[in-house]
Amino acid sequence: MTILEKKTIFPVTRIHNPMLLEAWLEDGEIKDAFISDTLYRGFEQILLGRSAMDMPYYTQRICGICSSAHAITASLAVEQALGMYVPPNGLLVRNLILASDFIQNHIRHLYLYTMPDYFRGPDIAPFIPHSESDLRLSSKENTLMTEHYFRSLEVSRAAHAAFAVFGGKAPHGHGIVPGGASMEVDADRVNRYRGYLMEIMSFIDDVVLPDVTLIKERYPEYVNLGKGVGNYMSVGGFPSPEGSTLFPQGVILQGKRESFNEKQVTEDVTSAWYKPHGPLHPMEEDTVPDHNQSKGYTWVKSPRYRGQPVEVGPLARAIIAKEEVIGLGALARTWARSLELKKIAETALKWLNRLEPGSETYDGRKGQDSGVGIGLHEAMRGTLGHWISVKNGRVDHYQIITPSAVNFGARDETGTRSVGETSLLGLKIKSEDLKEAGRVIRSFDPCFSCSVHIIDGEKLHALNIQV
Amino acid sequence: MLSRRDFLKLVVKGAVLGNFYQLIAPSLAQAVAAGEVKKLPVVMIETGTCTGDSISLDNIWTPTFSDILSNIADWRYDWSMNQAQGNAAYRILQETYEKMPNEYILIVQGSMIQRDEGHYNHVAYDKGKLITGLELVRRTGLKAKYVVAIGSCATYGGPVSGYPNPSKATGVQNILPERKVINISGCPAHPDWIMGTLLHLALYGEPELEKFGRPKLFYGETVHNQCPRRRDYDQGIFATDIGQKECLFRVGCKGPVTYADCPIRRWNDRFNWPIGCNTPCIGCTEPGFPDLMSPFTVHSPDIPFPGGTKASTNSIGLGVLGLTSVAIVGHIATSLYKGRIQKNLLKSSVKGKHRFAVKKVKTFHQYRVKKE
Repeated sequence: MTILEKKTIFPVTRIHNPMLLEAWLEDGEIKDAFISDTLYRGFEQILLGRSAMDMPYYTQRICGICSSAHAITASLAVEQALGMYVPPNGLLVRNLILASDFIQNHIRHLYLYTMPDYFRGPDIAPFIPHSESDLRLSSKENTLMTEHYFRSLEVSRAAHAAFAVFGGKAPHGHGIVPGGASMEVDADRVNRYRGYLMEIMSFIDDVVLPDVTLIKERYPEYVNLGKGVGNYMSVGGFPSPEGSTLFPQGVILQGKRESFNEKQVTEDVTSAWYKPHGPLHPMEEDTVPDHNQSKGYTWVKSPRYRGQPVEVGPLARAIIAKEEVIGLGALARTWARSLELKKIAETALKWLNRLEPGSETYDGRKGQDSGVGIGLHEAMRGTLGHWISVKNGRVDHYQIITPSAVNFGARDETGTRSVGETSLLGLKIKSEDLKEAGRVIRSFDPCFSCSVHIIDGEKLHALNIQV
Repeated sequence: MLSRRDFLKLVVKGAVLGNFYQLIAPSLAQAVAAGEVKKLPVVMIETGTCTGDSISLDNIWTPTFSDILSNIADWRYDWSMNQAQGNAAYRILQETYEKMPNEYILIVQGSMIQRDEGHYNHVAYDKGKLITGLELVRRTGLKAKYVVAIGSCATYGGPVSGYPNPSKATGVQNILPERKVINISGCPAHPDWIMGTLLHLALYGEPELEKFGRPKLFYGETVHNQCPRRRDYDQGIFATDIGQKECLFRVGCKGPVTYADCPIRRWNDRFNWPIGCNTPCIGCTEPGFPDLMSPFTVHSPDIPFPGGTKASTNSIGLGVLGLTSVAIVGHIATSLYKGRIQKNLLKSSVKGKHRFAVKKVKTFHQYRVKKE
């Protein structure tokens, strides 16, 4: 038996909400890794009994950085359950709101969260203390990157201002409601949105893409370091009034492409702090926190597609859409994210041109009071699903599968690691502070706000890990 | 240096003109140069949150974030911005509260998760031991110069504390009864509210607070009283569905019971805000949000008033001209003041046996929402 050295990072910074990483190393190489989320909030329980029409507003509170994605997915679920119809103009307005939120999220993730791993910031808080190891940019490039860091804040701010043009306020907007979008369309608003979009598009072309290229050239090994499990999934998103979607739907399992089937999605709670049950479809499962679950080490459930872990996010979307990718590792994810940014901004301009000022965006008619609905849409970090059952206008059942749960779930009953944990295996660690592992983790854009979780220190250490 | 009185005027003026910081910047720069003000040492602790308030603060228009980091604040610990990770990051926090007691401002974002003594929310490793958000906020809060809670969650529990409150979430004031907590509520809090309060703290110390611990300069008036659709309300012209241009009272607008300056300040480049987007105000700045404010988009059919009177929202819609409207507005005002309307709204809107009330408790701010 080899003796493994345990290294822990807590908190992993520059992600949303607490994440604990426990890496087991042998001769500087990661042999095993556990990723835990240490916060439990229990939104799925809170939603029960509330008015179904409130769901887009309430579910937005799950996550502050991708609020509109939750709003749209919840709206889709409620619309299906209550038999509602969205006018074409409303569909476009909703796409525009979500598009601006995508832009905001991708820019912030790129500069605020990813880039500080690769450049040395100025000597002011919050950049100090610097993480000094493995910095390869020249001092001139560092200065430029710092400038771009601050500029990115202004551009992502403009993206949120574009969000507010049709969404009221951001984050936690008001414009997306079951039945369409509440804001009417007029020339003033279209022009305003276009103004922000132009500023953003020039920033993407002049700053984002060159910066990502520079980082990719200086850190070439990260293009393939941190590969996932090789399975990819996308449920599609951004529908146009004709029915086509900007992101195609599909799954790749062990290299084989197949169409997505919602029935194959399950959640497993073997290693999470929930009352144990076998893998269940979200329509059947429940959320009962169980602190004494002996195998648990995190509160992220483990979503699986046909029993297998799948990777979701911009890289998965690019692979499913048969777009060119530069690799499958950490910087390949960043690269895919920056290209997606460009694609969304360009498409938003097309949607903007298609808007019809004056025609309706909202239809409040309901077919029935009770029903079952599934909302599936791609969020910034990957696949987002809401499963709802409504009785007399009230929520009877609500389950949510978030992208970060798909990427960073717990181990399932067969002991299979999640995508995030797998991506760390075999990673050579040279730095004191496990910077390499941080780079790989952040490339997924993890956001544990959405997952519902806890960890018990004692129990974690009692886990019997032998290699 | 600006006098406090001038500062307050500029905050209001800045809300209207949208150049709050430009008005304040010259005198602030002067004060910093003269050594009258030091860069604000700030630590931000995130507990049970969605990070929405960080994102909202990133949306700040004036001052810009580069201004804040280079001129105004010494933004020491904020795990969504720190370059260091793990222990190196946590050490900054430790050093701050050990070496700079009574100097730094503690900003708390997120509700205090109390279930299982806080073990449902761990935030860091301290000497090989996992410590909870609850413990960390108490430890740093007792040594801070000011404790500022931002967002609905940190102030009064927020969406996380919604019934049945599985994580036993509550606001910061409830776990720090010995300290006065400055509450900047909102879901999320407006960046101006956060920065305005921080600047006030830096320049003049504690701002004047209202009964729920919020700075009066931002939360002094109801949304309803400043609402551009107030005229429709007074004349009894009501929207019947979301997306219409009239007063949204009957579609569930909580403007009459919500204190905030959204109507004049507006959001994100000051172009739009929830009611401007033809959707009702959902009352996110108030204690008891979300339970006392739900359902958000459907008004409860009847508003029970004290003394057994029930006014249906239809009758408000039909005959509010003249006496009725005065009477009802009067009722709402009294009920609001006494916390009755929240109780009644909830009673008629939330299914189940649980009931909520605003209860007097012994902390600095007198009223807390309490589940009976």
